[in-house]
Amino acid sequence: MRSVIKIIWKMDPTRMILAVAVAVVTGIVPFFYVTAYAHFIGSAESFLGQQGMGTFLSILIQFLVFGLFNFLGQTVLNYLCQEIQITLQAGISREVLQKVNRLPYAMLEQKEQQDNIYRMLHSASGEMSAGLMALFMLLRLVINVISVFLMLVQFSLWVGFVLILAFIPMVLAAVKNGEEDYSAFVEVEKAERWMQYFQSVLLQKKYAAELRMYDCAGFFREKWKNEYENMSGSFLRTKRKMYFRVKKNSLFFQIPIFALLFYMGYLAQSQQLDGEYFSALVSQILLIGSSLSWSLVSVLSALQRCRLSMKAYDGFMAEREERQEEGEKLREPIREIRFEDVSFHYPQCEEQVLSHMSFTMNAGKKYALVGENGAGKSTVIKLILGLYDDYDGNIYINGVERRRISNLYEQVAVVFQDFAQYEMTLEENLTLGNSCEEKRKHLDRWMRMLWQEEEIHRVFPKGYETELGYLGETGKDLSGGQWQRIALVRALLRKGNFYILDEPTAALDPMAEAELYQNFQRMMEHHGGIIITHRLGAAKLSDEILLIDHGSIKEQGTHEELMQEQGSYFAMFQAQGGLYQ
Amino acid sequence: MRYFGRMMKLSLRDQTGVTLLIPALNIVQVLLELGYTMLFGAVTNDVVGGQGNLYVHLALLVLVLIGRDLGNGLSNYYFDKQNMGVTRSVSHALFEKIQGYPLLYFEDPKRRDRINSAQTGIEACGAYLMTLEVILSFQGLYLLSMSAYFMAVDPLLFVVILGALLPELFRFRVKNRSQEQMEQNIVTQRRRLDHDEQAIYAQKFAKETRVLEAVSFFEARCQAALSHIKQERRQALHKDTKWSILVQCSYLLGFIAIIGVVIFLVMQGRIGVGEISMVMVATTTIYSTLREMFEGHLLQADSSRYAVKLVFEVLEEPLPADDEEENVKTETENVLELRHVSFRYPEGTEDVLKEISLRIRQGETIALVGENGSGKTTLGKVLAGFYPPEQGDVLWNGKQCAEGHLQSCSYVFQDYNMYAVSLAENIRIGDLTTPKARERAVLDTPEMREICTGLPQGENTIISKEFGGVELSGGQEQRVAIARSDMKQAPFYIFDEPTAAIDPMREMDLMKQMLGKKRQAGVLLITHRIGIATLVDQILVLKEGRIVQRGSHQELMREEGEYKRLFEAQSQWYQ
Repeated sequence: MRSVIKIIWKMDPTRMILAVAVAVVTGIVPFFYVTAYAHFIGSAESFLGQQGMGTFLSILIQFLVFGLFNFLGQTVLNYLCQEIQITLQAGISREVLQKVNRLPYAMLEQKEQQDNIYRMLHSASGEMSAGLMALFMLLRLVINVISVFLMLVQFSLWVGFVLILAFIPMVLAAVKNGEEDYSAFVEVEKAERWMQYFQSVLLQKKYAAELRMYDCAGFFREKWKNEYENMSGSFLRTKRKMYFRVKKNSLFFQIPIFALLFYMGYLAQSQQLDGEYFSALVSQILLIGSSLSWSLVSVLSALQRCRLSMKAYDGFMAEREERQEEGEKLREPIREIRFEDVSFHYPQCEEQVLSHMSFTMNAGKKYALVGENGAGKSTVIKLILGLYDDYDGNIYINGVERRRISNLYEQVAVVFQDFAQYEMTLEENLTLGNSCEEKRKHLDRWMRMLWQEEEIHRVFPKGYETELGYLGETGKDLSGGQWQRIALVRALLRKGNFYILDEPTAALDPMAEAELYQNFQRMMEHHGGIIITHRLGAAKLSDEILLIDHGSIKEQGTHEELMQEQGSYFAMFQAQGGLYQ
Repeated sequence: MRYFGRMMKLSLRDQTGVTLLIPALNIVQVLLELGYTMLFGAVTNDVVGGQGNLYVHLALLVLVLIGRDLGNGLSNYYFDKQNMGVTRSVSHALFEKIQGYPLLYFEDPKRRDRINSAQTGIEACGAYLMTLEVILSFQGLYLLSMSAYFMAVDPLLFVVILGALLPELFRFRVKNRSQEQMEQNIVTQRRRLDHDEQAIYAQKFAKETRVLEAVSFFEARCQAALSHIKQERRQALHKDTKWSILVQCSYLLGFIAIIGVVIFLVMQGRIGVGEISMVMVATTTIYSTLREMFEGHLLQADSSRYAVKLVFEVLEEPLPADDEEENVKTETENVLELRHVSFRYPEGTEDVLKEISLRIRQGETIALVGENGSGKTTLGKVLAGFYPPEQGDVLWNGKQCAEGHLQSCSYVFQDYNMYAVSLAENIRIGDLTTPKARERAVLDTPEMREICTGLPQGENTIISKEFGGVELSGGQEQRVAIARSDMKQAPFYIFDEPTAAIDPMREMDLMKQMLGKKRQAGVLLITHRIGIATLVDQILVLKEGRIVQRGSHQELMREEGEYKRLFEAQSQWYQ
């Protein structure tokens, strides 16, 4: 709780102070009410005689004060809390995004971390400000109790303490309830995740064609229904238990209050307590009693949720960061990449993806990585790029250990297998914000290399300003191959000129594919690079081919050398090329 | 109100007991609430006026309090229960509705948005029903009876209370409009923000964004969107707060006026001292009820009304009648034929397919090749009966069949899915009516056995990492997808070459597995691997939506055309 207050204090101190003040003032409302009301009833007799204009006015003024606090206090408090929430939302998002950028990439590949970030961006600020609001409600309730207590004490110290004694166990029970409820809902959440999954299967485009083809929507509806029954069953069970407990407690704890009522009635009848105060006090005690037994539950569960989401937030902000500032900078283009006995397995997975791999690559030469799916080709790329740090052995780039280089990205241009499809304008997609006159020229050149003039006009009616994807009003979607060519142009525009291409041809038709390979050969002519491919025909054009099998290099050499070896490469080439004879 | 009626109907149908119980509970609650007010007045009267039996009244008051507390718990529970039931009924209705959508509807982004909004709107339905019920059967009834009480005491009181309400009614309309306006203003901003945030953290973007050193670019975009949204929200909040303060002031004035009226009435001797406290209690509770109703329930109902509207818009939309539900008759020798078919997407400006004519006989294999965007996948979908053609006919054994022939085809899509159910179920969904024996036969093929042995719980392993199962490799997934299509023993198969990268050895295996259907069925294979096309009976070359060449590999290689160009583009690497 303390850290929520700290965060909010940092982001919006003025409103925070104001809100506390308003909460305190509205807390004393019962005090005003009781005074004004007692005064009113007490002096009612005097009106009968048509006298007492002065009392009349003073009563009105008292009620006016009470009314101001009562009617406007809540509105102002709501307003302040919402203002704080608005500030908080923007603030938290900013902090979280900055933090994401400092995290090692490997962490972003974890599902839990993704969920965590999503929650942090979407619901954390809401839960935090709800927690704050709950805190204010709590403050107000406490002041409520205290002010009523102080009034009671005026008549009888004893009665005042009975009241406090009655309230304490109620609060404690509510605290306990809040905790139990929260843990009970974990089960519900699990079923909810399944439900949401089946729901998306039933409703989303991605699955629509298959569901119709195989007529299996009923199957998934049934699955959904099972999970739903599951979920609603345990939800209602939990709720039933909760209501029962809350009501049982509240009845139990209200007994002293009821006793108090009778005792106060006795005091009033025996003239030890003024009748007018009696009725004002009773109404306030009952009001506070019911809000303690009821709204306390929701206040506390909001606090609990807030505490948990704060804990998640703090935990996230404390995650290990990468990017040591003291790392070395590469001052020249990549000359050499050397793997020395590198072994690697993904975090949370025992299986070795690479084992004892050693090789050297030199700039200016073209390398092809080939091999079966899952052999470890893409992992090699990810390690070169420093997306994972936890490998055994050493990777040297220009003689410097990879882990110590801080600016590698300036020297490379990469096209991933699952290239990003950013939904923004074509120009933004290509230049990512740093566009200049000179870049434009390159841009035009590369675009024309990969796209035909006619196609550019057809696909991008507004030129570089064309919105890609569906986010804009006039957005349009592109085919996989078209997106891929955008990713290629994007890579070509990079300053770095060591090219790394992960199977770029997956979605290309034969003509585009052929053209592309030719372009790549030209591109890599001077600077070299690495290409991962399943099309062995393309691998053939490389200066050196590395065949990777089960995480280590099985065959290495030029196309001719490997063909003479008559090993795995030869077999694969025959299988693929045989069709073209 | 219309939606309320429809939901009531659904709720009455699916859970009659609970639905009827809730208003009954509400009425009891109102009675208890009235009892509380009356008894409280009586108690005050007893003490101040000094007559009447205080202890009896106190005892009754305690009983009413207990009853109120219990009733509150009960009705809350039943609201939860009803809520659950309504969500289930509405979801089910939505699922069924969406299932009736022609596939083409999913191509329309607006419609996809509507499905998404409906999906998020489901949750609002239960809350909407509940708030309306509370308003109608609890708050409304309570206010009505209180008004009657005030009328009885003195009509002047009634008028004052009513007067204080007026600004609330105005505010109510203004607030909703400004809220909706704000939502509309920021909806695109928010979607862009979502996207830009994802560009920084989501798996499909993160590594590329980092390698491109573009994080700060996206960060700046997020900042801009965030401050824009902040501003819009703040504006709406300010406007809303202004109204809120106005309304509260009017309540305050009304309250003061009532005190004034009460004093006036006392002066006139029209009400006694005892009644003052009753009027005071009634006034405070009526204000708190009004406030709860307007600021809590009505506002909630109104904001969820929008979400509910989105759900019912989808539910109530008439679908194109599919009266041609008649089953296609399969014969021993089947023919699927397209005659002069042209097709364009609903929002499209150009025909994607132009004048396509083709015939597939059972037992024949056809390869469909062509450049990206030439319309291959669309042709597959028209042939399978997913997309009704704009012009021309789709003929099944020479007879016109508009949409109802999905069951005559089996289809492996380019973007097939793995589902988070067991491996066996992933295959079984291909045809859920298949007898067990055949299911076993498909599961017991060597390819499937090989996959199963690698899984922790064999064929019962759930295919999803997220839900505690495992993920298959790309090649394994493809085999499962093919096995799934095998379950459905259709006379025709369409294979849209999966674009997922697959290594050459496995690729050959898979292709041969697909073409192996040849013996019994007709096969249309959409592919970029021209080499594969040499293995089929007939090749169709598609260019810009037209079939420009057709024939066997040998025939087409003799022509100087598109096919030769494509073939040589690829074969040059293997010389």
